[in-house]
Amino acid sequence: MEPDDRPDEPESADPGQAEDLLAALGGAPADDTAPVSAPIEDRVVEPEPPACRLVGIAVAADGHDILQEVSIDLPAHACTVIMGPSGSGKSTLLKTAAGLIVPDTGYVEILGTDPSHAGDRELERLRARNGFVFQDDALWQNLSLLQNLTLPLQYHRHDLASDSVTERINRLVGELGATRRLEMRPANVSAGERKIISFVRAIVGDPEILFLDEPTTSVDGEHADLMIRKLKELKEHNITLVAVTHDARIASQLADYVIVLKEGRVLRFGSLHEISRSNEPEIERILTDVLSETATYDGDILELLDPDTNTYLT
Amino acid sequence: MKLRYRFANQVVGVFVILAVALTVALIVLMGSNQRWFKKNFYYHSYFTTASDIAPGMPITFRGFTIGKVTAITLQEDNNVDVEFYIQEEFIDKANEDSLIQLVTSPLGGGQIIFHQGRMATDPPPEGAVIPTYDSKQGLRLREENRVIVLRSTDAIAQALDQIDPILSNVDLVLSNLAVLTDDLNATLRGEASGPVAGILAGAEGAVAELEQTVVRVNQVLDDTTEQINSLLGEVEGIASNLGETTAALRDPTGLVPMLLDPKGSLATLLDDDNVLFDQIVGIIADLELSIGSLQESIADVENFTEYLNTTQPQLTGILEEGRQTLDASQDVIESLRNNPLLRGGIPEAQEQPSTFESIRDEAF
Amino acid sequence: MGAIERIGAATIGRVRGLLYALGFMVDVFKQTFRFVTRRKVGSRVLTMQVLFTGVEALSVVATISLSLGAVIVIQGLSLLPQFGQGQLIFDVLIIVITRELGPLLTAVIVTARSGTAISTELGNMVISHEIEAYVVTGINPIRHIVAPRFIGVTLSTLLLNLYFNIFGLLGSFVVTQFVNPIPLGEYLNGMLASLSLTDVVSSVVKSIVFGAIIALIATYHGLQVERATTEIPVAAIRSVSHGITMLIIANAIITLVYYI
Repeated sequence: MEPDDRPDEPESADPGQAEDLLAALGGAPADDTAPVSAPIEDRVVEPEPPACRLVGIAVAADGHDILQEVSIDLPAHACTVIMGPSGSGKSTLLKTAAGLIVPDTGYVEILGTDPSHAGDRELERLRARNGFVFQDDALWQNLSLLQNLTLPLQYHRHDLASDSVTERINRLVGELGATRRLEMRPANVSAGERKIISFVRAIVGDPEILFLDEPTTSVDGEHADLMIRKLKELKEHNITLVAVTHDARIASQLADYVIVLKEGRVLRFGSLHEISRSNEPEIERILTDVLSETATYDGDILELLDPDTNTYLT
Repeated sequence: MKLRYRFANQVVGVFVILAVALTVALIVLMGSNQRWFKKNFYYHSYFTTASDIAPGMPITFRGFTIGKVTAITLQEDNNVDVEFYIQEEFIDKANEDSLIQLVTSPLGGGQIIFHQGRMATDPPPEGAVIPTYDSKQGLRLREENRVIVLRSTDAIAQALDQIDPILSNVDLVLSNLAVLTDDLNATLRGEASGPVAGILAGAEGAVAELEQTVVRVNQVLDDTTEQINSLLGEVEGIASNLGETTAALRDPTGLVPMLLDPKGSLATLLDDDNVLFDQIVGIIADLELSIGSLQESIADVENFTEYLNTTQPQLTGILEEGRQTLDASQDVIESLRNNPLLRGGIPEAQEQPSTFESIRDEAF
Repeated sequence: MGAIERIGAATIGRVRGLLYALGFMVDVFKQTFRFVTRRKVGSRVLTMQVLFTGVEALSVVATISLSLGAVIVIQGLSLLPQFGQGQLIFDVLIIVITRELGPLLTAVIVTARSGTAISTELGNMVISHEIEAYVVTGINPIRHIVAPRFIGVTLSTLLLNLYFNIFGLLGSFVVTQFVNPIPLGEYLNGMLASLSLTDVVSSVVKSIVFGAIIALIATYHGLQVERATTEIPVAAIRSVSHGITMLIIANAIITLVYYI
């Protein structure tokens, strides 16, 4: 499956199938204008299981509902961007999808496995196939930057010789422009560098799914560009990306699907095309609010999201 | 980075190794100190009572601890099975005819003494029964002189070794006295050829000797009052000797009836310028004194024995017997003294001489 | 809501908490076993833990045990000979240092130093998402974070207790030289004759159990922190108070078992 074709594929998805699925999940009624529609690739030819399936998810904290009735299939080998105003539960959704938060109701399947029912070994193997970039860097403070990068490999990639580990780390660090000395502790380098290192840590083990929580915040423009370029490359290598971001560049250049969250509920889940052409005022407003934080572009905000018209980065 | 952190592995290594090494050293020292790696040979003995025996009690041989009591159990037949071991390094001291003996000290806490058999044999097989000192088998082994019972193993035995010759001396004196009494009897009956005075002088000497002996016995007994343990047999000896003497004194054909017989040689005695009487009274007084002091020492012993009462009940019995014998002899002496003739006569006789003399002097 | 309901709710909460803690304990044991059998990566964490908990506490432990040994000898030598039981000084030393106070004091020192440190550190790791980072990287945080601390603290407590004994028993010898000089050989003989293997085993068992208790409680409270930094000092305080209580209870139980 060619990556270039992919953005168009959701358009060719059979809406009836989506309705069936939603019906099966107890979702919204089958209607073209349904607020939630699950984009599903053409299964007639090659049924592709979702990278991540969330079924009837609800998460609460301190008696407040953070997520409610979330049922989504995150498509494999594509980039899904989660958008929503602050406090809409984006990070929680991402962590739930990554299996970091155990939902109060419902269940999650990551690559076909429910992490809350997996054995230790199985879970470990599953985790090794995932990468996660935290909003704050979440680097291990008691280890040097280099150790932060080598530790996951030491655990999961016994096949790699120490030479190739070093080579791999140096290559990735070089590609992302973080050339500072890696013997330093995280506390001694800037927040941007920490973020880049945490990004490298997430991808160093060749994950199949990469979860990104605001990957470009506190990273300067130049390094953010390098990061986005790397993400594109990863996407070309069929890696599933799930990102929470305010960054219009990520949204416009990487997103295949968009989830719009509001107050813990999925307002809309659809292909970028669908969302960006949406004329629902609420979605329009949310996207404007979200993207205006990073975009200086004063034109039509939805145009900004359209990869066909966007020349922002190129 | 601190030096300590850079060399964390080395520092921690030293920390761990040092602690482990010191602990291992401590445990090895403990082991060698407490003989963990030495074999013990276990044996049994049967005692009649478990009092004064406790697990952990040492088994000693010539003052060395060669083993310990490990367990005591009451058997079906009411005997007490005492299990003990002999340490590997002393096992060659044990042989077929060995005995063990319980010795308790007056201050509590005792020990078990191991007596080696006389014949050099291999040690008895493990689990074998080693007879006790007082058991029939032990007695037989001792009588047959098959076991080396070291008197010098304890202070009591040493003291008794000292007393032994003295006591045989007492024996001699007393038998001399008996002979003397016979002689005196014979003389008084007019059967003897020797002069009465001479015999009596001999008797006086013997009594003096007895007195000295008693003093010496006293001294030794004083020395050994703390270690009176095995005195029993000897005291019994004294008692029986004294008994003999008393019996001799009581003999109807002996001294006393002769003295009391008015048809006898009383006249001779009276005619003898009271010399004989004085001497007889002297002898009796001396004898009384000797018996008194012997009684005193036995009383001392008895006092001490009262202290030992719980541990050595049989001693009291024998001492009591001894005292009864002494009392009996004293009774005889007392009866001699209180004899109306002697009592009435002798004081008078003592005062009489001047009267007699004056009368006689005047008569002449 | 009636009193009965409240009591019921509180009981259910307690039982849940207890079950959760038990589950945590079982998981720690399981992961510690895996850490030991498949140790390759976390050995550095273990080394550092022994360095912090063991080596760095050595001076405190040595000071306390030396002075404790000295005090026992001075008091003992002034009191015991009055009853004609001068020889008992070794038994008193062994009971106090080896059996009772050695393991307990060492454990209290470790709780105060390392229990708080571990709770605080783990609390901070939770707040800064480091724990989540381990989880999501497929590194079991119990195995990678808790297991080496568990082993390190247990090992350190054991080793510190051994040092406590060595210093306490030898320190008392040094003091004896000032009060009532006796030759080293005689001192060692008396000491070794009084010291039984059960004393040593009891002491070792105690310090291992205490070390495990300290590590479990400290890591448990550290990981109980959820979001706010204000929870961290609370966790540290809980780990100390809860830890010391558990130590004393465990000490009583082990001593009881030992005498039964």
